[in-house]
Amino acid sequence: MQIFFISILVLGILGFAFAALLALAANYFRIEEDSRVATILAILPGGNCGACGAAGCHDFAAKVARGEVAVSGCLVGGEKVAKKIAEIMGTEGFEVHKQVAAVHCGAKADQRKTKANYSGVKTCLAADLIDGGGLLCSYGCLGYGDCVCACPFDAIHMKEGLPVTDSEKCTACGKCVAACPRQIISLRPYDFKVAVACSSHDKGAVTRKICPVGCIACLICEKQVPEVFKVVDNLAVMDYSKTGVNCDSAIEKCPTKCILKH
Amino acid sequence: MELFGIFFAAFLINNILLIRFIALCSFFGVSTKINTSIGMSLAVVFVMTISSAVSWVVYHFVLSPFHLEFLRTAAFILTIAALVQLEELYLKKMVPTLYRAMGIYLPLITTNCAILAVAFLAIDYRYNFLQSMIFSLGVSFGYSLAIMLFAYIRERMALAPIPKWFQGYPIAFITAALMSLAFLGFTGMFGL
Amino acid sequence: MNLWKDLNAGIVKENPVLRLMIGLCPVLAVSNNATNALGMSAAVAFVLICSNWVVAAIRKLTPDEIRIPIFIIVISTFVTISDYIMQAYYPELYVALGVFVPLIVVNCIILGRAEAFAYKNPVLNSVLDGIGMSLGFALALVSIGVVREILGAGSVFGVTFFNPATAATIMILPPGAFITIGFLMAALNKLEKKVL
Repeated sequence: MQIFFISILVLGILGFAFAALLALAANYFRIEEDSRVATILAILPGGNCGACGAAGCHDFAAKVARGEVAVSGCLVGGEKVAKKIAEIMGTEGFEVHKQVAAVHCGAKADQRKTKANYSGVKTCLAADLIDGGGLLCSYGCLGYGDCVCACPFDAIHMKEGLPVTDSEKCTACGKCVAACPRQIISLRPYDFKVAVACSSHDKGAVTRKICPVGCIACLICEKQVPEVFKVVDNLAVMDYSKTGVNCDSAIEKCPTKCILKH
Repeated sequence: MELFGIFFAAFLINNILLIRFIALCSFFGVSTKINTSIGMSLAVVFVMTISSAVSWVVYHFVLSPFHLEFLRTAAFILTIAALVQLEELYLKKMVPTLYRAMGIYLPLITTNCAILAVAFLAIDYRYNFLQSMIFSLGVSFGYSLAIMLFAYIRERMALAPIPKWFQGYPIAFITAALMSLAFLGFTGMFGL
Repeated sequence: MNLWKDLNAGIVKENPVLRLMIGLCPVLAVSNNATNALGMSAAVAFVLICSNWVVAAIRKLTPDEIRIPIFIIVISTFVTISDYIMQAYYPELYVALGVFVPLIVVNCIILGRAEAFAYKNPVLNSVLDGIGMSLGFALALVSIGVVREILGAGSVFGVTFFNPATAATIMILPPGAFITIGFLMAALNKLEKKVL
């Protein structure tokens, strides 16, 4: 009988002791956190993608609360989130420049010419390391979808071997840009819906042989819309700061149709 | 020398995951990526060493004197749950980087079989305090080794052409079988 | 009828070991022969049914914030009871199961069902769910045990069929457990035509 009461007593005291210890610890180890951090954190998309340059959403919220970073720093959240954060912080006046990812290759899977059969690991990184995946074009898209895997927002998908971005879902976090081993993805302004679908620096004659839709540096686009297009090192590049300029003539007159409207 | 034997036996020969089969749910659940495995290993090492120490003290200084050894199941689990909570509070304040590295695995460890198993085994083997500390260190390092090896293999396997019905858990189990076979080879080393 | 569904779910459709993938530790460890498997299933069944019953009975009284520690105390009580019953009446089984008997406390199945089902359902449903889950667990565990014992020791439940010396001893060692359950899951995937 005695053991009955002793066991209840001992277990009870043990439980009580731990509970008291926990209560004390919770008090002693309490962290004073700016209450705004929690509110800001709740608004953020929470992807911890790092596009803002901070180490995760919690770090960004802390930095905003301390005033170290602009309220529009979260590229993923965009204007909506920036507005809400500005309300919390009591600031006004911010600029949000929405960007999306643009893929600079237009060769679909059946248009790519190969010099060898690649049967290695099916990722772009591996294929690029092993003699460019057996493709003749050493600048173009390999088509194994590393960018698709990297995207946390489901905004890029493979269609006929080429990645296609969904401009509404894309938050310009930059993960696909970093994932592409050939660096053929870059960020363009959301409003400027034109991109050169080629990254090849091969001479025009070479490009013509290995790709039907590659840039041959014929200079036609540069003559049509000189403010935006410039041919540098056998490849047409666009100056995206010239928003509002009409590029339709360059798009129409390009012989290989490698400038695309999105 | 005896302490080395205890450590080595716990670390490799009787590896807690691959030979004793303890803590398997977390093993298969967490080992799909390397960083989650590292977080889990850190949490396990940290929690296991402290918990086994406190459990040992509770058993020998609270339960034994009153002949209440039968209460050890409840007492140990109470101790471990409270300790995990305490450790979480402590880390959050004192070493926030480590806290964030462990993430959600710290509270998840409360139901990790390995922590409770080590407490029980230390009692069954009648270790003194130092021996049980070395034992729990060995077990937690063995856990970390096994889970990190497994994570490395699993990350590679994600790219391999596996037959359709074996994808996911079945091939993971067969991989674990091969690892376990390899660890069986350590039996009898140093006469242990 | 709802009661029949609660009983049935745990056996095949939501089999805790093979579909829900919880409670794996004892499955691999004690399935090296069918007798141990049966013994462990019985212990788990006892604890699961009793704890589901008690948790469902006191569910209106337990505050939400401390429900997990309360579940654990309830479960550990029944585990201690079954531990001592086994020690007294089935000592060889107790030695064979070893540290896995007290480890039933942190068996995901029991805590999981208490949290997911017994806390929210009346006593009768919870008990039936406990019975269903235990049957499912037993089914999985004993079938693995039988396979391992036949291939590894040439016997079933201690009844020898062929010379153990010619059996594949690896099946009763740790790797054998992993292999068996790996193939079993692959077979189930094929049967259900779905990869888990």
